[in-house]
Amino acid sequence: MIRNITFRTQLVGSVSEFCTESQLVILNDNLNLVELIVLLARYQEEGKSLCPNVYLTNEIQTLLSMIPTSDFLKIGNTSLDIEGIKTAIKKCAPLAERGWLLYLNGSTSGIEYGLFKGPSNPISVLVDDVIMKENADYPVVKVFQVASDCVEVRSNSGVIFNIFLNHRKENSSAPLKSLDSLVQAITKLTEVVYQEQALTFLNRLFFESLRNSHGCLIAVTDSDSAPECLAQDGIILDEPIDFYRLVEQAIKDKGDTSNLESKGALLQGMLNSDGITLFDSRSRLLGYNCFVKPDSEEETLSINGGARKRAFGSLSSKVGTELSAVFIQSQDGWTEYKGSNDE
Amino acid sequence: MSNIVLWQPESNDVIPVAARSATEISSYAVQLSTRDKNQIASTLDNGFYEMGVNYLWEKTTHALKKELASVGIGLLGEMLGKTDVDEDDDVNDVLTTRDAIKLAEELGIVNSTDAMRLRHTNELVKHFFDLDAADGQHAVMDELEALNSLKNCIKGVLGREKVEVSKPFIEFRESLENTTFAKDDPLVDMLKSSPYFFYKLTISVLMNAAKNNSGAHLEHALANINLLIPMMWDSLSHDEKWQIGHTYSEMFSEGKTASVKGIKRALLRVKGFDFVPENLRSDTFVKAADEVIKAHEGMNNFYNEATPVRSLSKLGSSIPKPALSACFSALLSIVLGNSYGTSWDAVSVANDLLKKMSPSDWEYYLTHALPSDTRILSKLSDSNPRENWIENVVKKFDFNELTIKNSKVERLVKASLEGKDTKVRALAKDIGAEYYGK
Repeated sequence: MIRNITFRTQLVGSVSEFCTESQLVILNDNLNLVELIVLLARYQEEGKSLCPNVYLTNEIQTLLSMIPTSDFLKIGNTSLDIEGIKTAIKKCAPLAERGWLLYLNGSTSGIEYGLFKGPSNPISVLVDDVIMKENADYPVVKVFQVASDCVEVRSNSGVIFNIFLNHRKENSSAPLKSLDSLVQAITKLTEVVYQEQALTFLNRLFFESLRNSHGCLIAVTDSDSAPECLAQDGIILDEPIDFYRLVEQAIKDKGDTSNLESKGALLQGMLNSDGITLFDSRSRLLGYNCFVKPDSEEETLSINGGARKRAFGSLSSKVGTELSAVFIQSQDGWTEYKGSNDE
Repeated sequence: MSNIVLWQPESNDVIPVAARSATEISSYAVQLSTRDKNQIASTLDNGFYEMGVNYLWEKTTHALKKELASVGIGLLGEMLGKTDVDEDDDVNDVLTTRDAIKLAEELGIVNSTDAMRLRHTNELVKHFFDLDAADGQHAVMDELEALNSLKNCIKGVLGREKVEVSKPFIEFRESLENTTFAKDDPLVDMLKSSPYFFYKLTISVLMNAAKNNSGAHLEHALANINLLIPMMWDSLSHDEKWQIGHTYSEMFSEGKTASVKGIKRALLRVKGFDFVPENLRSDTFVKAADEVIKAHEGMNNFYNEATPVRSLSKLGSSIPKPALSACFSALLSIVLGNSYGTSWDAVSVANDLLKKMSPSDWEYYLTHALPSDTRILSKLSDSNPRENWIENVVKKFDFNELTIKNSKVERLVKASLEGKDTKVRALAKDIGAEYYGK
């Protein structure tokens, strides 16, 4: 007897309670969420991988009213079923880039779909900090590909699912779990006045940059100069890029963020370069394209993996002395972090 | 705090009746150096009244503004509805002299009688300063006016060791920023039955705290925002609702996540997101309106008003709702003028702009903003501006066709349409008194 076993079968049962509690019209049928998850896990258009952030809601106008200076573009209406969801994603996913977010607004008459966007200002509050938290009266569910073969589903009531469509074990940590820790380490010693804004800016910057990165390695030091282990082989900037000061300047210039944005854009290229990108814990980018020599041959041999993974192992041994934190993102988007408070 | 009434400083007769000469009176100006006292007395004794009074007035307004600055420039900006003020600004750039006297009265630095006298001195100084060379040859300040001005400045400000913001105000503000109130806190109960001014002040203190405080002070303020805003919401005028929405929007674009989350909770409870401006375009209009007010209340206003009014009109007649009351207040100030008249150039531009206001704009202003627009209400106590109000505003702009949802303002408009000058004055005074609860 031939029997087919699919992820879908497993998923339908797992998300059933979540769909009921979500109070969303679109999720009245569990299969809609399952289809959306499977669709987004490896979504491609014209051979290009796309990772749209999809928000499901019943009240898009109320959500938009919570986001000052937001932008909005309705694309169309479709049926309230799997085919309707596929149509909406196909029409909108290629547009959901550079801050544009995809919405599906459900009602008994069908799905309205389109795009919306938070303020262009890179220091403004993150859209998710407003619409994904504490709005019990206005249910929202966000679905997005967080790493290759992993889709995150979260509701504004605080429930989060990471759905692994690969061999990962159930107790694996979330792919971007370490992002917050990395940004905290980079802003740890900044002045308090604009620390909140620096944190928001770097969170947004790293989220976007890491999404477009093919893997990277980032080290953080409490020292205000590059540690010896990295300074010997790498590009150390004569004048570090001080993101805290750039954020401070942008606020004092009443929203003129051109300098902040242009410096932020450099990070993407640095993360895509070979080697290690180096920050200090005052939000200053000290250098990139740095390489570390393993302390011993045994150390090298004891770590399974490629050059990046080995370098991460080597840097990890320096956390607590020359470094305060180290972060790795593998090619498939999964991350690992070691900080001086992790022991 | 046992009772919320408009704060008053202790009354004090700092100048004995027997003191009559400039030298005798100025000796009671304890805030001035001996050199300053001698210079002022000597100038007045020698008949250089305008010169002496101008110098005296500079010293008085400086002392007043310095004390107001101790409250925090941000809070002063909130109280005046200015959107572009931060703590780094100079108090002299933020406050006109009229603003300073009004705030000093509201915060209990001077009592209402002294405030009235200071306003009068301000008008007098401005009038003589503004005279052109030809008029200045004939109209000169006399000895009585100079000595009265000297007395007013000393009684209100310079005769006290230090003018201070009243202690009950400081306690009121500290309690909003340093304590998280329970629903049944006596202060919450008292606030419920307080005059509107205290609602407005509470909103200003809390919004200023959300913008500038951090740590525990911010947490207390945000908790109080969540308790007090839903409690006051239905009684708040649209100006204050826009002020809350504007703070939310401003904090959002400045990346202040904790403040945004706190205000958002309150706005969700009252379903108040309609008052979050879609963009901060209204700020441009509010700033332009501020410039009009600065010119109107500054020296040489008849010459200086036209330029900022033209700048305001160039922004277009589609004024965003959050900026409507600031623009109305500025334009009406120009059209009503002061006791010495109006600036013809500025009035014609202001009238053109007022003509473009829709009936719903006028209704919005009269219903939601005029009851707390103390600048315009106080103008109606003066005969020339009151006449302009009746003839050149109410009758000219067809107020008889408007629906005004505020009974006192409705009566004020009716009396104006009927040309009942004395009744207009009394009703305007009533509306102002109700706002302050005195």
